[in-house]
Amino acid sequence: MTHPRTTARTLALVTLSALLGAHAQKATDLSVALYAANPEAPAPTAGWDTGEVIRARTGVNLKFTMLPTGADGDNKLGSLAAANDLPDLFEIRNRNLFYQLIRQGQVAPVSSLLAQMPQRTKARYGNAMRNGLVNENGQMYGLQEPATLSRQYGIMIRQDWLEKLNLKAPTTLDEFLNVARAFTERDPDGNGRKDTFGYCGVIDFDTAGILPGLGLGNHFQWVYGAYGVPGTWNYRAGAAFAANVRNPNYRKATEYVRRLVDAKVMDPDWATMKRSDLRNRWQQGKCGLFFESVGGLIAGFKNFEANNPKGDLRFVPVPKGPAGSRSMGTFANAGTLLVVSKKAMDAGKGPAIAKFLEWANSGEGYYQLAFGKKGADYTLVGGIPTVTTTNVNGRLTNTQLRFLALNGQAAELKGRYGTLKFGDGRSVNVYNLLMDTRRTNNWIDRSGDLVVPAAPNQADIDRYISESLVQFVLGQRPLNDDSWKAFTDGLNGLNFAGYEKNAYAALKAGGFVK
Amino acid sequence: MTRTRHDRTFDRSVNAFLIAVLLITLIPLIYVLAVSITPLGRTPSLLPTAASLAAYAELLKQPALIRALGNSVFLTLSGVLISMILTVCTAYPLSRPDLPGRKFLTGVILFTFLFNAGLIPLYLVIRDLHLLNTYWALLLHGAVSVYNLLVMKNFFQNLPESLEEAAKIDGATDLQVLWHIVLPLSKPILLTIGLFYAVTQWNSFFEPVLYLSDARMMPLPVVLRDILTGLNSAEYVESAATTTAPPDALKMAAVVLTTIPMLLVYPWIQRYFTSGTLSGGVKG
Repeated sequence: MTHPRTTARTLALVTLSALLGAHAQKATDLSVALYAANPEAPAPTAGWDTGEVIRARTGVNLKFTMLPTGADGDNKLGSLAAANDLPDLFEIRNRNLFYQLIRQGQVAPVSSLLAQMPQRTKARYGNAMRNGLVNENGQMYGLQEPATLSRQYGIMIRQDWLEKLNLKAPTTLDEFLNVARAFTERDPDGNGRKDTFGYCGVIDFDTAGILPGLGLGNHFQWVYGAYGVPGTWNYRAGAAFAANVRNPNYRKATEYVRRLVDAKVMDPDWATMKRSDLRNRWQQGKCGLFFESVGGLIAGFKNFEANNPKGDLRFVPVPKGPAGSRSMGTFANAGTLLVVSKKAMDAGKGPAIAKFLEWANSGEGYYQLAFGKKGADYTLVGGIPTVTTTNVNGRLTNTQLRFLALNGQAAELKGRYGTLKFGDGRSVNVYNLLMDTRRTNNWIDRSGDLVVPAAPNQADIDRYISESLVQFVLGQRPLNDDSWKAFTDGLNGLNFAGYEKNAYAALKAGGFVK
Repeated sequence: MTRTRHDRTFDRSVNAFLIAVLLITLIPLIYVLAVSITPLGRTPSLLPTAASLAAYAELLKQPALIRALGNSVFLTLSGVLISMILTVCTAYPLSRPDLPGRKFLTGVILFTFLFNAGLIPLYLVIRDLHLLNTYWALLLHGAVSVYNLLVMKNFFQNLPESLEEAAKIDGATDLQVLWHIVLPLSKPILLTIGLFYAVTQWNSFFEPVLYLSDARMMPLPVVLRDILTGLNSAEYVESAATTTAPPDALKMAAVVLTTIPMLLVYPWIQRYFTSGTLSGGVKG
């Protein structure tokens, strides 16, 4: 006869197994493809902490694929779509591909998910203008996250050089040129050699949080901003909508860049240099003024300090132009774009996706995805997540999905952008710098740029304008009425008017222009 | 034969030109190496005044890179093995004049060299064979290169027929002839084609990105690109805060680490290289 205690144990085990079995059956397989937040860190492994937590809390068995950036990622998504094999939930950065997938019926409308994730919807998807970026034929086809980190760029100045030369921070374009000239000619580093540059900028179209527009890239947008023509489009022109390159002030801004070049206050190699070259220059102590992000400052700080133990870097407010205009450039209040495949929605995975995203929005899910394992990777100090681990790789692996969670609020930014300390005890609060560049630079929200369809010959248009401007500012081409007219006339051969017309139609339809 | 002054001048010009070409080729490589050993706080230059292996130490601490290195070594070794077996087994019969339908088969193979279905049909085939997210997708797809196959076939064709006939008179089977006679005589072409396959597998980038979804399975070029992308990113903050080497040194060190295995292999087979490609390249 079986002992009653054994029977009870067996019953308990059977019940537990049944419960666990039932739980296991409820777990939903979810394939998620995102651009890795920390591509330099190891990929999640089988015992991935974050994956285990997600399974336990949401019943989602997450299969995470890291998408490669750029054309490779687009090609991968395009191939998967052609094979009707798209992941259940994925990120998309190429908006042309996004609209193409909508037209092909590969992605599902997501409106039905909003009610299933009320907190996330309230926090992220309530802005009609931003939702306009993902609407097609009255349907919402994507979850457009707000930008969590934008306008982190600015013009940095060597405050120690400024003080040494007894100068004031520039506030106008003329003052900027004077300071740049002094930084170039008056040996601010005191090494007896003329080896410093007034302003360091490169042609760079990195779009991390900013929209550079056509032309010379974001390192010179502040010049165009000073003439009231930053970015590609003139939103305020109403029916006379046109590209800024048509505006006479665009030429004046170009002439100012030419003045910087002629005054030899820029590195002679600037037109062919890459961002990494520029970063080397300022870290070496060669640049008095330069365009940089707070992220770039953190990344290069150690090197800068090793070379310039007494160096002092600050942001300066963007200089004003002759008519008082000022803007560091334009930005889009749009971050990650999440899309659900039609296949996943048809398979009934919508509720699991909503549950997972809602969990990632706040509380435990938010901290786990954004900062890692509490106690091991970070602690909360006065409500600010503070990194404590020395296992950098482990923490970065745990936070590979952090763009699903980040919200750009003050506590988060303070956690991400802490204090840099010099060897002599001085410190720089990067969060304050970030707030400073946001507040003082008159950034212009041009999220609408994202709905403008690329021209069929977009690469030709970009190259023509960029190369022409480089020729103008380098003096390889005279900058006068005739040459400027020849330049703008050349746009006709590229059907630039058609590009403008399509842009206007798209912006008007999206409510971005009147 | 008497060498005239004109000949000597010509030789010297050729040597000077080749030295110039060598320098042009070598200088970027030296620069890559120099930047990779530049310590924090120093300007990268062709001839560095100080050296540090911090970038290498930093990279070798990254488990992702080590794992990817292992994946690439595995894929290269197994890929070369599979490709060589398949190529030899296809090239040898095609090189025999008595193979029925030889011209037709060669034509069919050549057709795939000139025309192919493209990316998406290939993806569909890999998917329907359930090879997605397995290394078989990388090893089997493109296991036989038509170009390499034809070069090897031509090499086999140029071997003296009498050797084979002698072996057959001694009672050797076709496989025995291949194993004991043909392959030992074909060392140059085997090593040359093996190197071609090895380099292709070692550099394979887009196929892993397309066919693999598990990031742990990714080979070195994919992970290397991720690291470089990360280093270039404006978001590169958390890791940079702990780094002891300049970002450019990290990038270049990654390039050097990837190149070293191929640089080590090449000198061992370099002496076979010319004879391998030359003999195999002759039309037959």
